[in-house]
Amino acid sequence: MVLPDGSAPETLRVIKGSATTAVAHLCDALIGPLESPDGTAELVREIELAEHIIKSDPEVDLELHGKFITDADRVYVNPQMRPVFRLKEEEHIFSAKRELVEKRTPRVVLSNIAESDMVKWSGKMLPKRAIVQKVLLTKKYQVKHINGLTFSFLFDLAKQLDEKEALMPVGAGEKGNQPLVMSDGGKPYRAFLEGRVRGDSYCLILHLTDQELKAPQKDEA
Amino acid sequence: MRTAEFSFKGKSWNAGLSKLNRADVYGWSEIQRHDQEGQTCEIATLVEGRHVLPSGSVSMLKRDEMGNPVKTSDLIGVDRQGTQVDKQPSVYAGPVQLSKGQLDDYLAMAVKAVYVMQSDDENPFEAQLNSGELLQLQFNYREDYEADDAFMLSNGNDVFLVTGQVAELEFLSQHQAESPIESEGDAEAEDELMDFSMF
Repeated sequence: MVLPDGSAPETLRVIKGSATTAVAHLCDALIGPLESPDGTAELVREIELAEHIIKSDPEVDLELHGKFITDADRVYVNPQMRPVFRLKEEEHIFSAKRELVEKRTPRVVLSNIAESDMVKWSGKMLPKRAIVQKVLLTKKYQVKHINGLTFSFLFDLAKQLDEKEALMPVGAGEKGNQPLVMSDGGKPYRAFLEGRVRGDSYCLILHLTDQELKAPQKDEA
Repeated sequence: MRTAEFSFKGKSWNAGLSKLNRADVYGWSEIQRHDQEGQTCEIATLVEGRHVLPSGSVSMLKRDEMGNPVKTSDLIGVDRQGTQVDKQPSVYAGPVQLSKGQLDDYLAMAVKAVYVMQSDDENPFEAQLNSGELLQLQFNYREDYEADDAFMLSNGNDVFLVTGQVAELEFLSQHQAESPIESEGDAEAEDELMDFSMF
């Protein structure tokens, strides 16, 4: 996307609000603290704030608004918009029906594809067409050789998969049936290898999936 | 539901598109963070070490060489050679022509979004989709300068539209070897050779 004269526009991040001009802060500062936390009282406060905004523009900070951001940090803040540095973390698990199922201490998932945790293939050749009708292969990595020996090994593997028009499940763990975690803290994925050969060159793709090809269950009326 | 018309070999099918989210099938998890008083904390932006900007306080602005703000609607689309291109219509704008899709193209696609197709009409492509065939189209949810690739496929019960960009695959010959990633031991040995006290 360019300007009509062919030059590229510059994109900048600009400040349009801050903690001191947020609705909740303005309500507290101009109207006073919320006495009863029911929705009506909050609505009345906001209507009153609207009058202040029309009369005196308290939502505009002339020093800050419109300023370009060149450097910024991310920080956690509490409802009073004060930075918090000692946080307690809790993982909430929700069902597909959006119900809270479980609260637990977050689990740290470590990568399992490093040298010490060898990725194992199952040896099973599954027809490509059957797999694509069952799972969504959303992420892809290309597997590359690092020397002549690994070239021969990967080329042969790609050739076999290409000839049989098949995908091969690969996994981690002792039996090679665990999902792959590509990086520490990453998501676990089921994985399939796909191979293609063109002359004396090959392309070996590691497909990752965390989702079957299926529609959400319809709510029973 | 808003529907789009899909045509293939003289037959057409009107179907709506409903975005498929993983959370709607399996549920999801999220990490909630609390301060010492148990209050829920949210992520915010800190500017100049003193201004806290809650979510929604930052917007994007485009400007020209003179510093004047530019509206996105004033911009024009160009291809890689800089030639102006026309906008591609939305999938809802008119009949969308389908063609037979190649399985290898589908497998080479970087997936962006998946839609479940919903229709009360009989699907004239049902038999071929159920047999594992793929139907391909150019896809834009909204009119845009660049269209995505998309494939229509079935799991036997429902029909899906998977959108993304089909990647150009790199085939490797023997001399195109990748450098191996150093193990931690190698990296430590390398560190010993580097004297940081010299800085």
